[in-house]
Amino acid sequence: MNENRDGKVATGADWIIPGLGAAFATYYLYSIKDLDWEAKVSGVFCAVVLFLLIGIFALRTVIGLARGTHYVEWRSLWETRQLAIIRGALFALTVASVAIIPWAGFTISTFLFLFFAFLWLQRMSARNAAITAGALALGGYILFILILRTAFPTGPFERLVAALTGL
Amino acid sequence: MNLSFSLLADQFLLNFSYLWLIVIATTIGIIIGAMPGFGSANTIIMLLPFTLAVDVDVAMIFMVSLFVASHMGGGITSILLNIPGNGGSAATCLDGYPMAKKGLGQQALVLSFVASTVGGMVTALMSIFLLPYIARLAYYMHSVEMVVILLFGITLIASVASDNMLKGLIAGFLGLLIGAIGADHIYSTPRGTFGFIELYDGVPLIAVLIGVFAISEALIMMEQSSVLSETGMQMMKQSGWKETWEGVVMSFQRTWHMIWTGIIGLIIGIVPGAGASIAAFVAYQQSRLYSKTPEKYGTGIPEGVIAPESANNGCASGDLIPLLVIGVPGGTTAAVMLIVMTYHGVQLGPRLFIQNPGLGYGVFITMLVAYAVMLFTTLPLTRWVSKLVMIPTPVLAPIIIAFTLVGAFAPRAYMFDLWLTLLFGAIGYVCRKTGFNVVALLIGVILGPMLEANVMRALRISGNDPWVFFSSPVGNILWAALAISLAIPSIVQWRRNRATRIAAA
Repeated sequence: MNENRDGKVATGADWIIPGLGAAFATYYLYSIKDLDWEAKVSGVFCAVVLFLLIGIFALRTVIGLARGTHYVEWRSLWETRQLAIIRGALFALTVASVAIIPWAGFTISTFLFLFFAFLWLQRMSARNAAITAGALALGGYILFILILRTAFPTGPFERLVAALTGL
Repeated sequence: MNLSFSLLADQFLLNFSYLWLIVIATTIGIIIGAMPGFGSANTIIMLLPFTLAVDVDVAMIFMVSLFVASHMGGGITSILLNIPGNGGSAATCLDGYPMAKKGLGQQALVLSFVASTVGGMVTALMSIFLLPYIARLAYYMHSVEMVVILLFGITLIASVASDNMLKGLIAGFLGLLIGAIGADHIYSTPRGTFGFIELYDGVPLIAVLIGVFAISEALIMMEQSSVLSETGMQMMKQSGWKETWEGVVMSFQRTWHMIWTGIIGLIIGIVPGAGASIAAFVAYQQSRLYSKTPEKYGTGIPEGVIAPESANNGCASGDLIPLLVIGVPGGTTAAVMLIVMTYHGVQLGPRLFIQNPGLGYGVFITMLVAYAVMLFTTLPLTRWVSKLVMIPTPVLAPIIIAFTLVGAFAPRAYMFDLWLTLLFGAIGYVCRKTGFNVVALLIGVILGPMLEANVMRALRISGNDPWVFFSSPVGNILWAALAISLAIPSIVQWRRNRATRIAAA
């Protein structure tokens, strides 16, 4: 209920979080059904209150729709097609970068993520994108891996540096 | 509560030995504070590997310096571009931007910096001397009272931090339920884990934090290619020492104004959930109410910049009091600090002042030192710092994502946590786009295990009698306050709707 059209309240996308909440609460209650009372009292309390709140939310929406003060729409979630593509690309790149971390390691996955993000989202030239992403990935490697010793999965770059320098 | 001169002196010395770190942290904090939509909490999250790798004292000095500096930095873009760097500086736009439009941008920035420094220092000093009394109250807080306080925190955050209280409550209770994932406190049986062994210890808070704040914020940021307008670009080129000195004079002509609006910020900051934005608007409103020339507010007057900036920084001290005294974070950054301190094994609450009083009081000493440092560093830096908003968001957002993911991985070194972060990033994005408050969700996740532990303790002591929750006079007063806090916004909203309907008819 976050958008107004002629003073009306938009609903639709608003139902994702309550829907997820109701689904999770149902699963949670199912997962604790055989447990001792002490192990489920807090979860039951939270789940019941959550159901109650979602119920009130549903009631308000239904009354609003019946009165004509609410209307159903989903566009508020992505606004324009162009923005949806940009956000989708950024999120997909993030997912891909996380997926390759186990074999590519921090430096290469970060470099690839930043390189393609700069190339596609900022429309940088390939050279500039490579230099900027390379400098940032290298800076991140020095700070997080070499200085702070974060146990990020090592990839070919980290192994090569370790073999050459012993770091 | 061993407050002594030698303890305070030791903390001052410790802070001075880390002066280089304070300078770095305050510089980063001001830069980040000047970037709209990217607050101190996100910066601490980004630099989480550092705060987790170093000693807890060093981590606290770093986080507190960065925290207070970001409060100060937020005013830069409010004044120059009419874009608040964070919620706390939104009220600064009201008079800061008109001042800039009148060619007084430099003076307005100086007013903002001096008011932030004075407001922050006065309230940090007050906090040091008030803490023993506030912390003593915490001894009367047993498990029953703590249950009510934790619920109170959720409802307050839900009602204050969101436009729609029902949505805020749904987010808060969903957070509480997410916080109840993992093995239970008595039998260690897994609950709601979807079969993932990585969730047996509960949902990792850092993954939730990075997901709902940093990842979702980066996605939201992509709405604009840049945060700057053409006018803003021109304004940034203006600078000069004469204007800076004029601003300093203007500020100290209004010293009392800086002090009392800072105290408003401190009081509001102590209430969990009522953050810097509320404090700044209340201080602005009060400043106008008691002004001899209220009609000038909004046209670009120094008091209109001083009040919100001083309160905003006074709120920084207030935010940390409930965190240190009862272990309940007063705001988002305090929640991040709670996570970092918990990771370091620090027990927050009254015990902190018995076991490690230096750390408890040291927070406010760090604030004093950080503000003193900032007073000397910010004024000449103003013109360069403000240029950072010229970075295009398609460059900024991927950098945020790339480096925050390291923070999500660092504490447990599980790839699972990265996937969880992305999941919470998507949830956080949907929450933001549909008006469900992510602060309420996060506070729920943090408070979930605390709520369960206190519920269990109270029930065990009472022999499983649920009426124990209504057996304490303090608890009952808190229940009544909770009910009132839930009812008042609804009544106000109902009256407002009724008045609108009558006016329309």
